[in-house]
Amino acid sequence: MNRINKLFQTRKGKILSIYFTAGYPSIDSTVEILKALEAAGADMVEIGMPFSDPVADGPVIQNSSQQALNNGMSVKLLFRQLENIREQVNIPLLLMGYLNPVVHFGINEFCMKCEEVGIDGVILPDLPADVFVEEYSYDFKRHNLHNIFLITPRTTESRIHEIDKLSDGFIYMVSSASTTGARDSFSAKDVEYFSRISKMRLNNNCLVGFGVSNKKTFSQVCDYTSGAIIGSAFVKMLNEKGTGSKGIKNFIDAIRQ
Amino acid sequence: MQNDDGQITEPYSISAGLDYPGIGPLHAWLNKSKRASYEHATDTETLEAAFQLTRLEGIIPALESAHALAVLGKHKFKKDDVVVVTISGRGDKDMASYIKYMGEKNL
Repeated sequence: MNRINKLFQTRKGKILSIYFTAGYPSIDSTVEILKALEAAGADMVEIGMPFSDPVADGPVIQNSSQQALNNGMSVKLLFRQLENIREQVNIPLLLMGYLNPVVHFGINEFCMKCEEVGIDGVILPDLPADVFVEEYSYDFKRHNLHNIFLITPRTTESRIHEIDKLSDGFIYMVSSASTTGARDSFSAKDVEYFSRISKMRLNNNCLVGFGVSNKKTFSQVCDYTSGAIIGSAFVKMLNEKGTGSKGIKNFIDAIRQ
Repeated sequence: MQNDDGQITEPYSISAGLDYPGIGPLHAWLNKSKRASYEHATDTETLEAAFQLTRLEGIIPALESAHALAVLGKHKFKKDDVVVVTISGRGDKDMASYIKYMGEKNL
């Protein structure tokens, strides 16, 4: 069974997924960060594939992407770094990035490589659902790879149901119509959106991303959804405190305590 | 325009409207499906063609369109051929480039 499904089967709620950009702060930090995250108690990790034009990202992840590209990160190199990752890390791993490098790599080759190294899912915010269904779903399915769809506060109810039907693994709930970036707290309007989606009783679990940064925002979303994804705040911590396992443990503990 | 990793690369063109990587996919498709053929013009050829149209017709073309004018001289047309060139924009916006070129060439 896909590790993402297994996670949602065994843990009900308060799932904490962490995003970081591969190749940042240094080119060789990917495996080190993944191991430290698992040891610190993260439930799942989204490994960012840096892209030159990250239109869904705010300044922190934009900067990390540019730095990672300057460091020489590429899709090819990332797969090479992840070659033996399943001997060291057991939690579900996803790749998150933008469509162009994936298309350029070759969709089938990409899915094959994901399966080979043990990637469980992919998040591509600029991949439209209908294009996925028509052109890519076959390759994803035969390589046991989940494509994670995103919804926002503006996604219509009928489209959310459609996405729920297409989804396997979880649904990525974007907290607001904005780019990625840490926020201190969610407003009443944001919470109303979390509650509205929760009342729809979707088949898939939902994780909230974009804006979740600390204990407060994490527990705000956990009242209504299965958990959250934290990206910018973690990337910022890596920039300030480095990739040491102690700093990573402190970061996770501060959210969970 | 992209590199081997699918990262978008910075294009270069003397005309702002062509200095944009996203301009590519539609044209790439038209070229591949052979519904259109494509030619290139250098900056100097483009500027020369723009000045020629200005002198002959009193029309200052935008630098984007001037690329099309520049390839006209590379074709051998028959006397009764009908040739359509779209002057897609006006050259007022490109005055800085034109004035710079005039300075360099002492025009």
